[in-house]
Amino acid sequence: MASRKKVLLKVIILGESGVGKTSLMNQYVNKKFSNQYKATIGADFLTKEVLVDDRLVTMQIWDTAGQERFQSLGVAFYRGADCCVLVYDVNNAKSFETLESWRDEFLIQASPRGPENFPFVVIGNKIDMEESKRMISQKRAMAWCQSKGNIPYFETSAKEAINVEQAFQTIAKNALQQEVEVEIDFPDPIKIDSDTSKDFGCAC
Amino acid sequence: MHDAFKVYTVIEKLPHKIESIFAQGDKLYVGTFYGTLLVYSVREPLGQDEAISVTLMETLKTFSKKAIEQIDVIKAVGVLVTLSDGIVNLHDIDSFALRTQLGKTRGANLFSVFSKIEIQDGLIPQVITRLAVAVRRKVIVFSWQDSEFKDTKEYTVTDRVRTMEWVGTQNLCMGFDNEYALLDCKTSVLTPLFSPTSPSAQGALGSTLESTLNTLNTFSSLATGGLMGFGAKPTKPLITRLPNDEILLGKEHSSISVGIDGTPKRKNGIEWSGMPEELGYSYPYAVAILARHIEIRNIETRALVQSAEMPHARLLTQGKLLYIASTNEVWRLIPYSFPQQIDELVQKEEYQEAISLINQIDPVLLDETADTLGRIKSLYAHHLFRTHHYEEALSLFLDLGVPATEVIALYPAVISSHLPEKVAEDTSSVKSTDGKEADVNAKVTPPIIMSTKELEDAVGCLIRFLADKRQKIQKSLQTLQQNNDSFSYNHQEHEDEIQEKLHVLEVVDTALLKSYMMTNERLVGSLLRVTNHCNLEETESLLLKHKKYKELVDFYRGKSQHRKALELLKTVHSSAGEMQGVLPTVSYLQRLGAEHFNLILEFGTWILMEDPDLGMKIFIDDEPEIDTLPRFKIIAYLERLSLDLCVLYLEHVIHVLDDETSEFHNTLVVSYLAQIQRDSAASGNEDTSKTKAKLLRFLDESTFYKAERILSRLPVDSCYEERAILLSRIGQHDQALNIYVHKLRNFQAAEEYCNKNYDSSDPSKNVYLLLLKVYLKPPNREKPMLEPALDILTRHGTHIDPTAVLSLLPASTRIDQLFKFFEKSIRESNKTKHMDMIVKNLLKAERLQTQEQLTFYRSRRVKITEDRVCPKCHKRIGNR
Repeated sequence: MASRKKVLLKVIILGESGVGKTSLMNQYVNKKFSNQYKATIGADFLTKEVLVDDRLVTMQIWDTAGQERFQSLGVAFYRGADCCVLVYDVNNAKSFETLESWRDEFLIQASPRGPENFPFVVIGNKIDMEESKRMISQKRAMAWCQSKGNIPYFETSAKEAINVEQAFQTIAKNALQQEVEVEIDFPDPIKIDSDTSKDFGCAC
Repeated sequence: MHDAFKVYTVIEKLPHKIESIFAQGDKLYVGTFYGTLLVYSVREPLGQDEAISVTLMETLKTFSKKAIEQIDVIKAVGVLVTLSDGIVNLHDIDSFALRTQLGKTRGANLFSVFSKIEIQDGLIPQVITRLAVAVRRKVIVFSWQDSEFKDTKEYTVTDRVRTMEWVGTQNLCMGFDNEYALLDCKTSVLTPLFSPTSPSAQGALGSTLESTLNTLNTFSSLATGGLMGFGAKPTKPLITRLPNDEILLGKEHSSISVGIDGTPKRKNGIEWSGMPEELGYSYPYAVAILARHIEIRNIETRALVQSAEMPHARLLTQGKLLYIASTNEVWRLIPYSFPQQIDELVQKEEYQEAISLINQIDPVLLDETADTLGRIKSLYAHHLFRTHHYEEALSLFLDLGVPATEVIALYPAVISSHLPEKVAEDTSSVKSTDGKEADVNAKVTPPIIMSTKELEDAVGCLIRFLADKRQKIQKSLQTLQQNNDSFSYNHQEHEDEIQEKLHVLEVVDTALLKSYMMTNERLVGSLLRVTNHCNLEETESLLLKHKKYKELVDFYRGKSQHRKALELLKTVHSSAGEMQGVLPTVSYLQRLGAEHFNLILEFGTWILMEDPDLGMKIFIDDEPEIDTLPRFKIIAYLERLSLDLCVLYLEHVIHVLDDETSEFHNTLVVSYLAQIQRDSAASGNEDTSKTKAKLLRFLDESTFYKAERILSRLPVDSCYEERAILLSRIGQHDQALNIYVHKLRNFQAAEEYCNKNYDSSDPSKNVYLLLLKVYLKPPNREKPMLEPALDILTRHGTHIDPTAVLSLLPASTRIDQLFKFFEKSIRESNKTKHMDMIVKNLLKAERLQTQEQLTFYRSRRVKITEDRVCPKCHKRIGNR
């Protein structure tokens, strides 16, 4: 099996501006949080090695700019993504309502072969704020996730590091599943090549 | 393959055996076996069909005693360099008189000349010339600076040098029998490169280069029949200098290009069809002399460009002017103009070659490189498409920015039917104006026939192309629209541009929709939900055909075609599927908002008829848009439709949304009444009592209805309790109590009423007294009710003025019955009296205290002098 092969998982984080995409990524990878808001320009990524089901995989987490829809990222950027993380702010109703558009736009740009099975994960961030400010109930968010094919849902706080680890663990797991499925679909050309060239070497 | 060169015969049947040739400018030098030097003047033909003109200028029969093995020219010094009889001689280039015999070079077998103009900052450019001569296991390098001889250096090498070539002024690449090596003339370091023969015969050097070449060789020998082991004839090392300090080295059947540092410059070497005997380079092609013919190849693509029969060819000139010689013949190969070559390649559909050629040659050699390149690339993309290489074709289309319409037009009607007829014509006519004959090809091409599988592949690639396009066009459209206001002077132009973009977007999105429909239906919904420009009619008919009602509804919503959406929902609600039932319509209506209020009412009706419970969610649910709807109008609408629904809505508005509009409260009361009236007709109805309870509670709790108005609507012969509450609201407590006592005979309720409404400070709310009056002074000459009156007196006597009580009590009342009342009353009044006295005395004491204080303050004096300053503002008081 190809299980010993090093796997790179490409994860893309999308969502309205200011919901905490960068903070989530930073909390997960660097265990750091800053209260200061700095808009992301274009896209940026961090990598992290994760153990998923006894398998060491490298997660390449792409943080995107939420400010203007899809910025300057071309179709190529979304291709080959293994998981898409949709983030909203539980205290901001609009950021929740636009989740569907983010999802749709992603699907159009990435045009995965099985859109219904493509792994998404929804994260409701900023649950550390006081309850009175909360605009989107857990129930409502979960209902939406369910209606979109049982998308896993997490409520997190990048600030207090609540649930971040768990969310990304699920992201990695689902991304890996997608990656494995892709492997079955399209056999890895490099592997075959290296095998055959070895044969050649022996023949001389 | 195309014709890169035209071959001219320059010399035929020369009686002498040609040993060496060299060309410079229009001069061709030929050295013979018997030491004769022939100098020709060669004039290139001016036109295509003209013959080459060759004149023999000089015949120097006794130039040398032995064969002239090699000829070269050092222009800066003005000498002709020749090798003959194992010695290098320098002759004057014009008079051919011997200038110097380089004595040191006795025993030489070959030499190599290199000149370069060196430009250093702040200095006059200098011509640096190097002459390297191989003498047995030695290399001697002579250097000139401009025309001045500078120095000589000697280097020892491991073996006899078989061939060598300068790579820049510092590095000398040498070929030995068994290997190539690079000599750094500054450091005298000799770096071995690799062997020109097969590694199996040589033993691997173990470098990475070696191993890549191994594979290369393995493949090449396999390709040519696997005669690897039979390397009977030792291969001759071959070195050719390419531009940019790159050298081409021969290795069996292939040629490998190496950089100045000895590392391979290109991924793959050139594969010749046989073993090259000589290797040359003529911008921008590599040339090789093989056993029976010569081959010309593109260095970049390694493709065979041209081959020509030239039996016995054995010599060729390096550099721009390409001459090839056999023992007694010389040919000149003149390149066709590059535009001509490119046109030929295009005509032959060898687009890759054409593109590679354009990339390699200097742009000045073409009229409009960028344009030509783009045009050819586009042709190439079309060609790839026609030959079913969809992925490559579409990424090329994308890179080239080919208009989406042009690409969509390549697809069969199932994808492209929405293109206006003229668009297809437009694109081809544009091409033919600048493309001349080459494009006639493309235009005549019949529509591409694809199998189902091919079409699916092609459509899959198109999806990627279109997704990228729509995003890019949308971006540019956005910027256009943002700038619209700031540049008003060319407003019309601007507007046109926007319209144009919108049109393209429509074409793109519609094609994308059709593509999804064909290969990836699940994405149809996504496309139609986001901002899109799909053509309305096309989308409609396509989605209806495929029964994609949900997507169509989403599409209509996005396009604000709400009526169409709702009509569709109504039509399909009875057929099985995900749009079955009323819920889809309900949620659609819920999100419409006040702007489309009339639509909501219009389409709400059938829903409310069909399923009132779910239907009411149109107005009662937790959606932000619902809050924007005008409640008055909803009530009016529901009233007309159904009393019960109206009540439901009013209850929601009042209890859940805490609406305090008195109209609503009134209406709810009236509606309750109407319900009761309606239901009581069907007697014994459980609902009636429920409604009654609700009504009573509401009348009791709500403070926003207008009691007067409701009173008039109450039925005369029922609803006494309700009436009592209403009367109490308008302060008619006596009437209210009257109802409790006389109509309902509920004394307890009457007492509770008093408990609730009594307010000692408000004379109009002296309800106990009123109740007493009701009991004791009944209307219509009824008998006064003494019992309940005495009960009230006993329990609440203290709240009633005893004098009033006495005047009310009938004379026949027994005094002992009033004992409790009096006792309480007197105690109460005594209590009040004592309390008042205490208060009075306390007040008196307080007054005295105040007076005392007053006296104290009045006795104080303050003296104000000139210097006295206000402690607050620090100004002198005396000054003011």
